[in-house]
Amino acid sequence: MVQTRPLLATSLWVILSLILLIALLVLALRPTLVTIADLVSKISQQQEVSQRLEEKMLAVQQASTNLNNVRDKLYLLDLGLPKEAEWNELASELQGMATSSGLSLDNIVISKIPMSPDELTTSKQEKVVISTPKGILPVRFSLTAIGSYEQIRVLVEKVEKMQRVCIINRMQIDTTKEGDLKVNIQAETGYLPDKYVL
Amino acid sequence: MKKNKIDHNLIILLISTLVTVASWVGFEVYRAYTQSKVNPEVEKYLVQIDPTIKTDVFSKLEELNP
Repeated sequence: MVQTRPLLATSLWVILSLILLIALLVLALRPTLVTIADLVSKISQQQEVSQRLEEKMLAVQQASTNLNNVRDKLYLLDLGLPKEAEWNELASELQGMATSSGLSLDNIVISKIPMSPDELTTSKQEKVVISTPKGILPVRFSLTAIGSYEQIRVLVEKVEKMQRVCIINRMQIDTTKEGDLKVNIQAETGYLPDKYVL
Repeated sequence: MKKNKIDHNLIILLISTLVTVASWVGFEVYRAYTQSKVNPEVEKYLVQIDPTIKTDVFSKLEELNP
């Protein structure tokens, strides 16, 4: 019948070829192409990861070299920003500075010291402006002393140049009944425990 | 005549199917190529660091009272 009707024969071959093509595309070509694309992509992405890791290793080596160059000066950072609040040392130092300036120390008040960064955000009732950089736990204190203007100037200079980095937030000078000057310094220093170092 | 029409329709249907399947395969290949294969855990180790140390801080700290 096919031999007698060539048009039918041609149609049959075309139909069978198309069916075969579709079957090959779905069953053979698709998995192969997907696997090839997957592997090519994986290789390219792994190469990129490898390159970025190499760059990071170079940066770490450079950082290590830089760190070794300043290793003998690192103690300055610990002095400027200790790992613990060290409030008693701070109080002693302030007392010593006030005395050596010739001032008569009235009082030193150290505010509640936060033990973790969470304590800074949870205390909503107490709205205090924090001057220390983010991540550093602040130690706020207030110092009141009586003396002359020159003595106050010397004290302020000493507080500003304390080895432990200190930020003076507010300073108020009043006159006493005796005619002396009474200074109140509100300042802030900080500490950074090891567990909060980035 | 009727038989010829059925053949004609069948060929059109098969060609349409072929085009659809080819498109599907194309999109599958594209998706396989563009999909990220890097483990998200690895990403955090790839964050670049700045190796410079601000040495001027030490100079400023040295100027402070001992």
